[in-house]
Order: sequence, then C-alpha cells, then structure tokens
Amino acid sequence: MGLIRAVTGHLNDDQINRLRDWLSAQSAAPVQVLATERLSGGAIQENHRLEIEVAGGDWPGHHDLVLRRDAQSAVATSHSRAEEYALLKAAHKAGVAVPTPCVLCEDETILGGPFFLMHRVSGEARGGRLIKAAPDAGLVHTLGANLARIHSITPPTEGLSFLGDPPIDPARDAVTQYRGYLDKLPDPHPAVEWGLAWLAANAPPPPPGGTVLCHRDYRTGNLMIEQAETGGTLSATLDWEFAGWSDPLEDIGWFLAKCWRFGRWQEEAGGLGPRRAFLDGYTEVSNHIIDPAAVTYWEVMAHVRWAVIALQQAWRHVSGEEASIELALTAHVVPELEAEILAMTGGDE
Amino acid sequence: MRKQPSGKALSDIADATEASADPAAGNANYVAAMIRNARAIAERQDLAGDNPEKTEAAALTNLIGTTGSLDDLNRELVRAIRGGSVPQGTHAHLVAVNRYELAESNPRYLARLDGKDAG
Repeated sequence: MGLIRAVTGHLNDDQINRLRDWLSAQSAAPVQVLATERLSGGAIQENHRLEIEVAGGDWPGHHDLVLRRDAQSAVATSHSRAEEYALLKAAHKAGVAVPTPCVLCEDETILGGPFFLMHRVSGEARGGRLIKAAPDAGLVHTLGANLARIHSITPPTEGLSFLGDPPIDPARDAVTQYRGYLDKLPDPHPAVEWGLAWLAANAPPPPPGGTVLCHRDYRTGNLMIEQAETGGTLSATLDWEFAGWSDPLEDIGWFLAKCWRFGRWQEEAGGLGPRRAFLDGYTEVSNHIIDPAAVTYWEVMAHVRWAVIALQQAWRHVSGEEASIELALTAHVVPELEAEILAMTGGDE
Repeated sequence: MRKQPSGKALSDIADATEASADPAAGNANYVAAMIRNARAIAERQDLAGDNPEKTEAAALTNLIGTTGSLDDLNRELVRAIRGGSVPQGTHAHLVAVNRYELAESNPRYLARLDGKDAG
C-alpha cells in the first residue's frame, strides 16, 4: 500500500489509513494518499481535498478529489450524503455543471459516517467577490442554460425516489409550509405574514408541464465560476441540500430575486448580469418562454422563503440551541427582505 | 417589532465572540466585521430606546381597535392578515414599522431604498 505524504488536514492518521485501504479495495489497486486538506466553509458538511495516486486497477492515475461528509456538529438536514450523491449523479447525467461524482461510501467504520468523493473543480463561488467582476451577459446566459438542464430531470427518476411524491400545487403547498414554520416561532411577524397572504391570493395554477427537479438554492454563492475577472465560465453547481420536485419558476425566481444580488441591484441576474440574458439561456435549452409576471410571483416567494429561513436560523441562537453571532445577525437581514416583500405586494389603500 | 435577538443580546454575543476569536484564523476579518455590525445595531437600538416600539403599539391600537402588549397586538394583526380581514391601512403601517427596523438593522439599505446611497 502507498505512503502518506504531506498530510495537512483534519482527517487523522487512522482515518486516512482506513480511507486508503477502502479506496484500494474499491479500485482493485494500491492507492497512495498524497495529501488531504480541510477546505473552508461548510458548517453542516465538511469538504476535504484529497489527492491520491492509484497504481492501476479501475481508476489508474493521479486524482484531485473532494471528500464530502457530515460535520461533527451536523444538524438534521433535508438530504443525507447518499442522497446528495444520487442528486449529483442525476445532474451529471443530465449535463448539469457539477463536480463529477466518483464513489459513495456508506460504511461508517471508515470515517465514522457516510462520505462521497467527487472530482475537485476550481473557481470562485463567493458572491461578494463575483459581483465585483464586470457584469457579463454570456455568463448569466450559461447559468440560465445550466438551470434548464437541471429542470430537464423530471419525476420519476431512478435513484431519486427519496425525494418523495411531487407536489400537486407547489405554490400553495409552499404557503402552507411557511405558515407552519412561522407558527413554530415565538414572535409574530406580520410583514412576512402579509407576504404569505399575497402569495396565497395570487397563487398560480400548478405548472402546466408538471414539476421538475429544482435545486431550490440556485443562486450566486452556490455557483462555482472560473476566471470571473474575464467574463467567467461556470465550473460547478454546488449545495444540493434543498433540492426537490417543484415548479421550475421557483428556481428562476430565487436566482433573480433582489436579495441574491449581493447589493448589485441593477444586475438582476444574481448581481452578475442582465435578467434577459439569463432567461434567454434558459429558453434556449428548455424551449420554454418565461412569462415575466409569473417570475415576479416567485421572486416574492423567494423573499418570503428566505425571511422564514432567516428567522428560523436566528431562533437557533436565541433559543440557546447554538450560540452564534452569524445566526444572531441573520435576524437583522429580515427587515431588508420585508422591505422588498412590502414593495412588491403593494398596498391596501 | 424588533427582531430577536435585539440590542443587549447582540452585544453579549459580540463580546463572547470577540473573547474567543482567533485573530490568525482565515475568517478573522469576517468575524471582526460581524462583531462590529452586531455592536452597531445594538448602539442604534440603545439610542432609539423604546420610542419606536411605543409608536408601533399606538399605531397598532389605532389600526385594529384593541389594546394590549406589542406582542399581543402583532399577534392579533397576524390573525387578521391570515384570516383575510385585513384592516385598512395595514400595508402603510407595516411599511412604517419596517422603516424603523431598517434604520436600526441596516440604515444603509434604507438610504439606498430612498435613493440617498448609490451603493
């Protein structure tokens, strides 16, 4: 078996040895772990860079990978690592820009929990950095096309049965769900409630083409972009934690919502470029022409949804479940979201 | 109605975070910015005192025609909104409350909305 060199990460030596042996068995060849490194970000999941050399077998050669597993402080989330791996495989097959999934391990004796490996991709995902680059219609056109490829995955899809039955009426279902979330919080939130009443009164009919796989967090910040300073190319769609069957307009509204422009309000496609280019890219792949008024509804939904999530996150701090200045400050994003909800939903006078 | 955690609790978590912060950590600048932001919100709330919430309670009493604590009045408004019996003037009331909350939580955002800050 191979030697371990330049180990700099948070996987301990025993874990790395077990990982090496498991990879050797999987690949039917000796594996050297050349380097590991804990990557930044990810409070709920950990990402570790893993560089290996495989001497023959099924995966010969040098591989620069990412190992993804639950963090020690992980909380119950919507998808397990095995489910996230299945989503990545389905997306990869559909031509979506994602890190190529390699192998899943559900044997908890190796690292103490399930993990999977995927090819490492390079680029910048941080929204605050990306929006400082020049706006680029070509980039957002690509992002629209990439979203349409995600939406080409429709129920039922092999391997995605864990997503459950598709909702019959995604908009009204969401209103019911978010009202339920608000009811579990200790404080009343009339502005968010106002937004939900508007969403209930203006709910569109179920999507005529049926529901599709929605990423449900498709936005600047979850898209890895290479060479952003020279226009940028999409290298990966990250963070499939919330993926599920829904109305495709939910993802479009989420991406275009003002709250995800990182302060660069005039560039309506995620702070990165013009709205029209994003929608044109979407239409080019999906052959669906998007009705602007229908998108507006889902932009209101996006602000309401983010407000509800932000209030839930803040409550984790306030309740003593998890003391965190980041969670505490999330509550103070909510007035910005409420301002947009109130502006988009008009008055009663 | 101010979001929780409000002023004092924000100061407390800012102090605790500062006491345990690692200045050599890769995210040290981000953590420092959060501490500054939490303290700034706390200071603005302290400066405003309870005037905004007194004003809000008076406006709510006028809007829905009952009296009670600010929490109770807002719960009553939530019930009315969800029940479809929205009092006339509700949107304007919510906008007014939102403006005082923004003035404390993110005055720059409020200035941008008002066209006073190009961002």
